[in-house]
This record gives sequence, C-alpha cells and structure tokens, in this order.
Amino acid sequence: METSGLSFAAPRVGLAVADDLRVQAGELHLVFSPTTGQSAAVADALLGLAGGGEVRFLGVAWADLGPDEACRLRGSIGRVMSRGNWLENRSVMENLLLPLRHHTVLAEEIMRQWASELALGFGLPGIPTLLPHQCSESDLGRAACVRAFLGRPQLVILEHPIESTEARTFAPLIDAVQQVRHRHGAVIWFTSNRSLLEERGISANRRYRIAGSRLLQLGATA
Amino acid sequence: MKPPAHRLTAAGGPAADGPGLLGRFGQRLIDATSATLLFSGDLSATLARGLGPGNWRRTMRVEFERFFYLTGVRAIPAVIVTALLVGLGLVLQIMYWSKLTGQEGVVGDFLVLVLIREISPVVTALIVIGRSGSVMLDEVGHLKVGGQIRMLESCGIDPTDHIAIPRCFATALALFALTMIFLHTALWSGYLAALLASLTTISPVEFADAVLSKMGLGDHLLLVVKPIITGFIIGYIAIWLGLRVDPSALGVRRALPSGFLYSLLATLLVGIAVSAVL
Repeated sequence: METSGLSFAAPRVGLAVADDLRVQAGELHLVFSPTTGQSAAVADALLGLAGGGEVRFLGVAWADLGPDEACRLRGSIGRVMSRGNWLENRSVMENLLLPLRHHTVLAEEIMRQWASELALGFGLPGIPTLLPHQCSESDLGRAACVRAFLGRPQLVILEHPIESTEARTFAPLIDAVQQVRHRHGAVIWFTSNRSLLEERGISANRRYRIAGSRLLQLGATA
Repeated sequence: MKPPAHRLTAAGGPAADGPGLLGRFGQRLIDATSATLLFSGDLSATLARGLGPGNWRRTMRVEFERFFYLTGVRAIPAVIVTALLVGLGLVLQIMYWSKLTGQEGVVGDFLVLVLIREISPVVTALIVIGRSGSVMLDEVGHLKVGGQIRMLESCGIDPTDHIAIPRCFATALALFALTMIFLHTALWSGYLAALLASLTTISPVEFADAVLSKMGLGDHLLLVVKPIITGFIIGYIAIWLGLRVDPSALGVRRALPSGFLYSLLATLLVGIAVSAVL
C-alpha cells in the first residue's frame, strides 16, 4: 500500500495530511494516535472510503476501481475498528463470518473451523454465539481481532485493538501479526499507548505519530 | 435608543444582503428537485442491481429471508384483524345497500372498484409503513450513526447490496403477499357476515364468480404491480433516509416523521399512477 498527497478529515484538527506512506508486504507499521477519531479517519482514507489524494493498494489506486472491484479488494483487508464493529441484532458469530460469507463460497464448516481456531488462539472458548451486547468488552475486543485476521487478509488495520481488552490478548495478537507478516501480508497498527510505540519487542518496520495535522515518521527500526 | 444593526439580524430580522422570499423559495425548489432526482436515480440503480442475475450473494439471501419474515409473516395478524374490520364495515355495507336498492347485480363492480383496486393495496401499505418502514429507518439510521455502515464498507460489503436490496425486495414481496391476504380476508369475512345477517342468499361460488367476472386483465395486473412497486419504494425511502440521518443523538428521531410522510405520499402517488394506467 502506498499513498501520495493523502489528506483526510481528522476530528479537531480539520484536514490532515499523510505524505508518502508506503507499506510493503511483510511489514508492520505502528502509528501513535492519541484519539480513536484520528485513527479512524486515517484508516478510512487508507481504505479509499474518505479523504483526498491517492492511495494505491496492491498497485491499484482506489479511485481507479469501480465499486464492485473496490469492494472485492477491501474484502482482502481485515480491520479492527475503534467503534461500530458489531451489528447489534446479529450474533457475534454471524458478525465474524459475515465478510467471508459475503466474499467467498466457502463451506460453513470450513469458515467456522477457521474462526474457532483463531478464537481459541485469542483465548476465547470458541466462537461467541451470543449477541454483541451480551458479551463482555474483553470478549468483543478479542472477537474483533478474530474477524480482522480471519480469511488470510493481505492487509490488517488495527485501530486500538488491545486498549479495550485485557493484557492477555497481547501475546496472541503479536503472534497473529507475525503470522500475517510471514505470509507476506502487512499490518498497520494504531495505538494510543505510547509505551507500545516504544516497545522494542515489537519489530515494527516504521513508527509514526499523528501530530497536529500531519502523520510524522519516527524512524525505521527493523 | 436605536439598537445596533447587527442585533436586528441576530434576532431574526431581514438581513440587507440575504436572499429574499422568492430566493429562498427558489432555493428550496432546487434542493427538493435535486433530492428527488437523486432519490430516483439511486432507486433505479438499486432495482437494476437487484434484478441483475448473479448479484444475490448468500448474505443477501439471508437478509432477504429475515426481512421477509419480519415485514411479511409477522404482519399477518395485524393485516387479518384490519381486513376483518374492513370486510365487516365495507363489504357488508355494499351488500346491504345493494339489496336495499335492488342493485345486487352491481355488488361485484363495487367490490372490484373500491376494495380490490384501491383499499386493499393502500391499507396494507399503511400497515407496512407503520410496522416496518419506521423500524427499518430506525435500524439503518442507527447503523449509520453507530459506525456499522462504515464497518460493512471496510469489509468490502456494499451497503446497497447488504442493506438496501434485500430489504426493498423483501418489502415488495411482503406487501404483495399481505395485500392478497387482506383482500381475501376482507371479501370472505364480509360475505360471511352478509350471509349470517341474511343480506344475501348466494353461494360462495356465486359470490366469487360475481367478483371475478367483473375483474379484467388490468385489475389482475394491478393487484400484482401496485403492491410490488409501492413496497419497493416504501422500503427504499426508509433506507435512503436512514443512510442520510444527521449523525447526532436526535438525527434518527427527526428522520422518522419525514419517512412516514414520504412513504404515505409515495403510496398515494403510486396508487394513482398505477390505477390510471391499468
């Protein structure tokens, strides 16, 4: 994924700019973003859902794609959103499987098996079958990660994924991130946790922070 | 003491360089025309996409089944009760006055003209607007405000595919089915009441024949076309407004009266247009 002249409407600061953001296969980019609104604005812009400038994903600019092609391509991107992750009148399981059901013709058993394995990896006892409001915040946070990593996505965008969940989610999350990178996927991770940004244990290729109306690179480490 | 000029403007007085009454009216006319054209374009695109072969993914089929159940199956008791009341009130009255004036031969004409062509589609549409249209608008509005629409888009799921098409087609089919249920319930309850009140002595077969013999091809077509078009538009109005609600706490609540009014107007307009053609 690469951007040029990307601008997006960030809350409070108005129009913000992220020049020359280039994410290669197998890379992890950490972004320090103090507010969820700013993360969502950048993530939306990267997905071609809002903002100006050019964003290219797998070599193709979102603006050059028709609606159907853009949707198909977005189907290969996993995302944990900071809000609005769940359709409230569907069970968490239906929510989890919705993108796969929509974009593929995979058998139900295969999808459920993949989801179950990921759910177990994130410390859930299985795929939650309750409605979202009947689940704890912790379980929902982990289930959101399950959906983001389900179906071998080529890019995963994590908006503050562990801030609303318990620390025990951290190790499985790092593991899932590494698996995506090993199979030449990429991960963009937004966090408001400054210590996470400075955590040397996370082998991020680039680290950024959103400062005012710009996305500033802090320096390559890996 | 003369107040400063800016206070006059702040209090709602006419600004010297603001648009006049004619200007404001013109602007509103342009806005309304633009919105109507935009709505018509979106509606046509949604209809065309829904009719396209191979566009119905399994998630859309599940949504369709779910909304057909919610809009159609669960509305059957309300439709039956309303139809019973209409049957007792209208059909019984028609048969009573026909007998009183010695015009039993025109019972079929009256029933076709009043009940089949006009009342059944409109009353059933009103039930669907009240029961399902407002619920749909509320649901879609909250999906928009809560960020779930953006979540669907992020997953590569077009809201038109996942939300608009299944709901509109489900509402159209449900309204057609409910109109049939309404019509038969009203007709036969009225006939039964007339029979019990000794207002008629004709057999059920003769009664059915009296009605069917007065129905032309246009009447049969109207019974299919009017509910389907009306249902599709009712569903689309709710979704269109729901996707455009103001993202504030009161946004959805403010959109609900508009949704009801536009759906009602659309029902009446479609009714007039289809009746004029068929």
